[in-house]
Order: sequence, then structure tokens, then C-alpha cells
Amino acid sequence: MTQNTDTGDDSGDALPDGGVAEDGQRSGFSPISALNERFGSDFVESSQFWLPPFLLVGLFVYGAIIWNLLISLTDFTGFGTPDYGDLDLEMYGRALADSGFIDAAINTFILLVGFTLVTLALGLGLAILIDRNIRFENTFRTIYLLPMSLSFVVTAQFWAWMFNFNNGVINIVITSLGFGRVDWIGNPDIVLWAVMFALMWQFAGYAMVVFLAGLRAIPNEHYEAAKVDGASTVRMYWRVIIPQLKGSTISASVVLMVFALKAFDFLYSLVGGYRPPNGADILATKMVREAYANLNWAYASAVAITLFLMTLGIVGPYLYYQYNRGNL
Amino acid sequence: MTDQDSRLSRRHFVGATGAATLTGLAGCSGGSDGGDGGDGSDGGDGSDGGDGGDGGNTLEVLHAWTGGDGARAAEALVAAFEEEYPDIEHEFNPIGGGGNQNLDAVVANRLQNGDPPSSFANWPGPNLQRYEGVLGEVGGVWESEGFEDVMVQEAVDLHQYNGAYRGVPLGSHRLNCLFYNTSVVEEAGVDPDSLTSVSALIDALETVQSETDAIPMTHGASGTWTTTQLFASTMLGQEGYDAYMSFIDGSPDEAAVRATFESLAEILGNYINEDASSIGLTESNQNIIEGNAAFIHQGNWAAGAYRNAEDFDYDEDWGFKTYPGSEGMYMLHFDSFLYPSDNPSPDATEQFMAFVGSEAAQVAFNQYKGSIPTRTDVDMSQFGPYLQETQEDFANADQRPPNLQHGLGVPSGTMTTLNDVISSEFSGPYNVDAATEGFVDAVSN
Amino acid sequence: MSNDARTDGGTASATDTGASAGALAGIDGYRVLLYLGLLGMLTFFLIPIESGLVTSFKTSSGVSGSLPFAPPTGSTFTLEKWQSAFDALGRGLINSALYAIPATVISALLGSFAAYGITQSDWKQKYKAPVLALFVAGIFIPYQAVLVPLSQFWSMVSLQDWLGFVWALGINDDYAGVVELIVTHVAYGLPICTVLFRSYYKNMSEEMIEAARLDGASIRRIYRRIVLPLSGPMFAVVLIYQFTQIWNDLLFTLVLVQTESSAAAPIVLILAGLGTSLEGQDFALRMAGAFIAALPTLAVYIAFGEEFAEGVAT
Repeated sequence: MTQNTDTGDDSGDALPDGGVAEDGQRSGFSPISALNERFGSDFVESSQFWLPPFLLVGLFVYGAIIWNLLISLTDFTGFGTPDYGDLDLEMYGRALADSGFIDAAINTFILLVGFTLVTLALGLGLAILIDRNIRFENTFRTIYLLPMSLSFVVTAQFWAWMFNFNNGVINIVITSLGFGRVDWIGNPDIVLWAVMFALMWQFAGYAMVVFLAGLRAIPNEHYEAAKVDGASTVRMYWRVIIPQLKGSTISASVVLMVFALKAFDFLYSLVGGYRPPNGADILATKMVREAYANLNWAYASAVAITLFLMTLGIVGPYLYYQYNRGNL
Repeated sequence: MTDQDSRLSRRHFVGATGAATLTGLAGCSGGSDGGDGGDGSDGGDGSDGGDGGDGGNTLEVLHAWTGGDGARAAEALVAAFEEEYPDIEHEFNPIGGGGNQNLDAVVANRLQNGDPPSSFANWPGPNLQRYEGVLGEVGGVWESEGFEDVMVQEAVDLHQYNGAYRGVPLGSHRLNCLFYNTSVVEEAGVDPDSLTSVSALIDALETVQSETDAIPMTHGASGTWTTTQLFASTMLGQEGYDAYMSFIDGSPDEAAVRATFESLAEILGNYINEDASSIGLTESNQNIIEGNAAFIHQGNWAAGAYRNAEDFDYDEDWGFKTYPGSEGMYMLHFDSFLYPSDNPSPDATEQFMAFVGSEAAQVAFNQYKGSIPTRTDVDMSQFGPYLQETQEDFANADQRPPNLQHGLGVPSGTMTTLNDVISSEFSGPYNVDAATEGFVDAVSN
Repeated sequence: MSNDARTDGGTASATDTGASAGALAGIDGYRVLLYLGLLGMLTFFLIPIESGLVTSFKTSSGVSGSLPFAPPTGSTFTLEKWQSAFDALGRGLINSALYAIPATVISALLGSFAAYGITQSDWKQKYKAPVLALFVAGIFIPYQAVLVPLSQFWSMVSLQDWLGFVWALGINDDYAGVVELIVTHVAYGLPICTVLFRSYYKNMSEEMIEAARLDGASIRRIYRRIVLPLSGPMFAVVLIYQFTQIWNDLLFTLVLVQTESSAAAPIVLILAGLGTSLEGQDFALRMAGAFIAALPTLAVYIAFGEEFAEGVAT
């Protein structure tokens, strides 16, 4: 509706601000037209929109990663500035020889895989329950997704209390069932699973939302067809519906894995300090501790690069997959 | 001196390049916003005020005494300072959280950013290594105040680094302490004073276990430091002064370390509270106050909590015993204030340093903190009976070995490694072999 | 998201709607199980919150002496913990708002610009793809990978020095950290904002824009007159999502502001230390603090749940 008047105005060339610059661009200094020729007709003009944000992201994200890589090659520790004159892979060698690093890498991997799998499973279950045409669907959905709106710092407080040895809900429940108390946070063999459980609580709602969108994109006929074939409900989901959720599963997995890599906030808040409970150290917490508590900047950077490569290993194939499907 | 100058000029140089970057950035985003281009010029204006602004002469002191007796002691210290130096504009900032962890991180970052406070609380000794290059000297204060003559010799030695004084001590805690709940040990029929060896302690713990419902030894291991600290006292008590000193000096006797860990494994594996790994010092100490436990090993800051507890008196309700086997020794700890170079308020800071070492400051602070003065000429009549005894023990001690966990024994990097070993190998299940290997490797030169 | 009726569910829900308590007996076991499952999950998701809420109203003896999910009784009820939590966290609420709101607005605007510049303009796809890929990949970067350079950067770009004229007005110079947080959150929030807007602009009707272009309207004009006015729903999604993310983030506040003792300490930073510095393990206080810190994002979530769901699902 409005575009008619808009376009009408425009022919009159009533551009109060910026008009001059654009006219300058259009009338074509040779470098600009050369750029436009090479990249496309709007390249220069549209750059006023995308270039500043792109530079900001380029500087803070990619510039910083390259800088981080450089720092990881120095011996930077303590106070002062890094010496970029002497670059080597010493810090990576140190990481491989550091049993704390190896433990953290293993824990990161366990958390990554375990958390992603259980969260996907629970999220899928929730999505199917919600999708069975229930009453109060919105209420259920809102409550299942609610933990996702909370800060890790907040949920860490809740779960520190839930897992409390003497008075926590979980130990109260299991002792009332006749089992002994479990030291969820204190026992190094258990704590990682306890953390995984808490994170699952927080993110299952997210997986549910993604799966629900996937389920609702499946045409009704597929359900009908399965029904006509006389398949049971379980069989129908297993054979017909779930295989069609591949796309949802992939995108949910990628996001969940990235969340797991970032679980720093949760672990920091659980204990209120840089050192997570014994047995729950992950690369994200080790990196921050090495840098800000121990001032081992170069070493922390090397740990950070490792973490970055792990992320790249997950996200890279995903981006390639999306690119091939024309989603980029 | 040249050191300081080059730091200063680097900071200005960096500031200038940074200014160019920010102006550039603001220009970019301003452009896309249309009307907001004015931001860029603001950035330019700001760089004029680059000389530290109003912070010029205010004395800014950072410390970590945020709770309980620590906060009260810090208040008393500030009040005494205001009385002595009413003209100095000051700002005492307590940095809370995680013991000293947050304070250390804040100090480190401010030193790193070339924005040091006037002074900050920390430990002297090898701990000073981590501040290599960013600490100034206060030899002038030591000389004009005559500190070398009135401070205990260990304080004189440990406050020097690279041949210069870097700070001034405020007080001293004792580390090799065993506290007990009198009624619990009586119920068990144990006489704490008869415990003069680690094996006698283990026997006593067994007695408590079989005779009472109480926890024989309460332990708060949610942080690793309590266990590292227990290792130090146990080693001192069981293997003796020489073995302990060669351990911290970097030539450990593996057999001594192993024997210490074996005793520790026996204690921690059998006689501590089952929720030890999820509670901290505060709750662990609460077990003594509430009569749920017989013994606790801690530095004597634990006694501060007893004094604050109602109806819980020294000798009647709680008692003190030198950690078994370490009789005649005082495992040393210092709370000190250090002096950063590139100091924002050099004159005021030097006056503050002189104050910290004065009798007025040491009496005001230590009587509430539960520590003792580092000066030898302080009238102890204002202190309670427990601290008076501690002071006597200190003065009469045969040896005063430095502590392991609080900065005086090993540099902070080594301390971190030791705690990593405790975390991965010795927080249940207790792996004596791996812990021994880790500790020996960590301290060996 | 429309509630299309499906297979067996349709009839069952029709029965449901008309069902009175008496008719419930007639419902098949399958539906009963279904609702039991739903209610079970409801309990699972609510119990940590419920337990936290009741605990926050208990005295210390109430906390150790009663079941963690039981409400406080007359003698164990107190508002004192909320009072002390509010005293400790109140300034944090303001500090958090000081950076979360500007950073949210700026990153949403810039994200909209970037998405528009990439989506609704005519330049070659083979050059657009890498630009876009860099934006998309930026969403997934673990912040740890940029932390050390980030603190190096902010120690070089010393806002503390440059903004001297602000501190001269009597504002604590710790607030340099708030400015740093705004810039940092904008930079790292931009990728997700851009991608959210891009998915929206890609599906926008191209006819209007084409028509405007044929009439020679500039790209800037098209944005202002056509695209921006139509972006309202997506702005709602992005603003809500970004606000939640920025408000909830701890890591940047820890690195840039560092301590809850700072005058500019954000609420998450104070909360992270709340149980452990002053109060030992005062769980009632921690729970009350957790709720205060969660209130703004909870309020946003309850008011705009649909937009939030859309934000996370994209």
C-alpha cells in the first residue's frame, strides 16, 4: 500500500540524508563500478548495511580467534604482554602431557555426547506427548520450555539445592525409597552425570520445541497411511515418523552440543569458583581457570584453540550440510 | 625505576593506538546508524583524561575479608587507620568469593591492565614470585619504622624478594592445629593432650568411631586446599621438620611423601564425614560447634568461628592441641599487604605500609581475626586466652616451618599443581601411588 | 503451529472437551497414561523451581528441619531472606539492565541491517555465501576461544582512561565495564541476530521490494520505508531472545567486571558468589537470590512465550 507513494517520491529524488553519497556511488567512480561489476550490482550500496556489522563480527570473533591462536604459540604468562617473536607449539605439547587437560577433554566429550543424547531423547518424548492433541497444550509447552529462559547461574543454585547431600529433594526421594544417600556433587564418579541431568532439565524443552516443529511439518497422510497399515502407535512413530525428523535432530544436536561446550557458567556457579567439583572439570572451565586464576595466558589459549577445534568439528559439517541443501 | 618508567610509557603508547581503533570503530557503527555519528568524537575527547583521572591520591586497598570475624577485623583496621591518619583519603575494597580466589583474580587483572591498586592483601614468601615485575619496594618504610628490629625474623626474611622489601606483615595464623569438641572427646574417653603422633591420632579416631555416634574427624573438602593443608601438617607431624623442609625446598624424600599419604588415606578413608566432599570449611567447622564431630584440622582461623558461636568457650567447650607429632613447632602463615609498583598513590601507600606494621594496626586487626601480631613487642593483654597461648607457643617454638598451602612454602604455580593432584588422585578414591608421584614431581627442582 | 486435528486424537479430545468427572471413567487407558506422562514431566520440570521457591521463604532452621519441597509453616516462615537477597542483588538488577537493554537494542538493529544487506540486495551468491557462513559460524563460537584476546583488547582500549570526563561527574569508573559489556555483547550477539533476521527476510514478499527498486528507490530508502516497518514481529523475537541471552550470561561479566564487589557488578555475578562468600551455604538466601535474578527473564518469557519459542527454535 505504502510502496506506491514511496516509489512516487523516489523518482523526485527527495533523499534528505545520504542521497549525495549514493548518487556519488551510482554515477560511478571507476573503483566502485569495478567492485560492483565483480561482486554484483548492489555490492557497494548494500555494504553500508552489512559491512559494519560484518567488520565488528570479523574483528571480535575471527580476529580474536586468530589472535588467540597467535597467543597460544607464545609463552605468555603472568604480567606484561606476549612476545610474538618466539612462536612454537610448546603449549600444545604441555597440554598433551597434562593429565588434567586429558581428563578435562574426556569429560567434555562425555558431557557432549551424553547430554546431547539424553536431551534429544527426552525432548522427542515430550514433543510426541504434546503432539497427541492434548488439552492445555500451551500450558504444558510453556512450562516444559521455562527452564530455558533461566540463567545457568540461576539453575545452578536450584540444582545445588536439589543435589544437596542432607536436605536435597533427590536424596530425600531416594532415601524414602529405601536407598542410601548419594553424594551427587562430591563424588567424582557421579558428579558429571549429575551435571548432565541438570543440563538436560534445562534444555529438554528446547529439543521439544525443535521436534514439535518437525512433527508438525509431517503431512497428516503419513499418519493415516500408517494407521491403515494397522501399525501400532509405537511402531508408527518408530518406523514412519521419527525417520522424518532427521533435519530437526541434526539442528537440535548441533545447538545442544554447543551448549554443552559452554557449560562453564553452570559449573562456575555451582561452586562459586573457578575450580569445578572434582570429576567435573571440562575444557571450558579449565581454560578460564588457567587464564584468570593462574595467569597462564598462552596455555589457556592453547586449551581454547582445542575447544574451538572441537566446536569446528561439530559445526563445520553442519554448515556444509546446510550449504548443500541451499540453506545458506 | 627504569622498570616502572618503561611500563608507564608502554601503557600510554598502547592507549594511543587503542584510541585510534575505538574512534575507527565508533565511526563505522555510527555511519550505519545514520544519526549517531557523534559517538566517534566522544571517544577522542576521552583520551585526554588518560592520566588516571581522579584516582590520583586516593589510597585504594583491596582485601578479601568479607565475612564474619574477617570483616570485623577489617573494620577495626580501617577505624584504627582513620584515627592515625585522618587526612588520607582512602577506599578499602573487600573482594569476596572463593577464599582469596576472587581477590587474586581481580588484583592480577588490574596489574595486568596497568591499573594497580595502592596496596592489596596477600601472602609473602615464594608467593611473591607470581608478582614478578609488578611489585615496588618499601625498604624505606622498613628502615624508617625500624621493622627489622621489631618483626619476627621469618617476617623479615619472607617479605624480601630479589633483594628488596615488597610488603609489610599484618598478622600471623598458625596452621598445625587440631581443634576438638571437649564433650565429644570426653564421651569417647580420649585425652587429646596424649596424642603426640599421627598414629596415636588415628587410634583416637578409631576410639571415637567405636565409642560415640560422632564423626571422628570432620573435613570440608569441597575445595582441595583443606586436604593439601592436612597433608602438610601430617607430614610435619609424622615425618618431622627436616623431611617437611626438604619437601618444600624441592628435594622430597619419596618414602616420606608416600608414608604421609598412607596415613592420610587411612584418616580420610575411614574417619571423616560422608558428605565431606560436598561441604566447605564453614559447615565442617559447624560440626565441631554442634557437637557432631570430635576433631578438625585447620588453621587457627577456625577458632574465630568458635568465639562467634554462642555458649562455646575455650577449654570448656572446645580445645586446642598442636597437630600430633608437630609439638614445639609453629607452622607459619602471614597476612600481609603488598606494594605494587606504578603505584597510584605512592606517598599515602607508604604511610599505610608504616601503619600496617604498627602496634596499633596489629592489635586492632589480630584480636578480631584470631591471629597474632608479627611484632615481638606487642602487649598481649588485649587478646583472649587462646591467642595469648598461641603467642607464647610462637615465641617459644623450636621451629617455625612455612606453610604449604598459603604461599610461604612454594610458589603459586607449584601450589596449583599440588591441588590438581589432590583433585584428581586424592579426593576419594584415595590413590596413594599416583598422589605420591604427583606431589614429588610437582615440588622437585 | 496450528492445532490441526489428527488421527485418533481428534475424537478423544472431543470426548475430553465434553467430559465431566463421571465421564472420565470412560476414557481409554491410553489417554490416562498420556496425561499421567504429561503431569509427571510437569512435576519434573517444576520441582526444582518449587523446591527453590518454598525454601526461599524458610528460616535457617526451617531449611534443615523440613522437607525441601514442603511449604514453610508459621514458625519457619520468613521474608528475611528475600530482604537480604534484595539488598545484595538490588544494585545488580540496575547494572544488568544498564548493559543488557542497550546491547539488546543495538545488536538487534545491526543484525537487521546486516541481514537486509545480505538478503535483499543483488550481489553474487558465491560471494554472499562466505559472508553469511561467517555470520552463521559466529553463533557457535565458544566464548572461551576469544577470551584471552578479548581481555587483552580491553586492557589496550582503556575505557577507564578515555572516559575520564564521565568519572569526573562522580560516576564510579567501574562502569567502564558496563560499556565494555555493551560492545562485547553486541559483537558476539550479532551473528544470531543476523541469522534470525535473515530467515525472516528471505521469506518476505519480494514483489514490493522489486517494485520499489524498479522505481529507482535506494537500498537505504527501501529499508526504511518497506523492510523496517514489516520487521516488527521479528524484532520482537530477536529482542526477547537477545535480552534473555545477555541478561543470563555470566562469562563475559566475570572477565570484564570480575568481582561482585565492583560497583558495576551485574546481577549474575553477584548471584554466583552469593552462597559462597558471605553466607556459607545459606540455601534459602541463594534461592531467593536466584528468583530475583530470574525475575526479568521470567517475566519476559511468560509475557512473550511464543516469540521466545520461535527464537530458540530457529
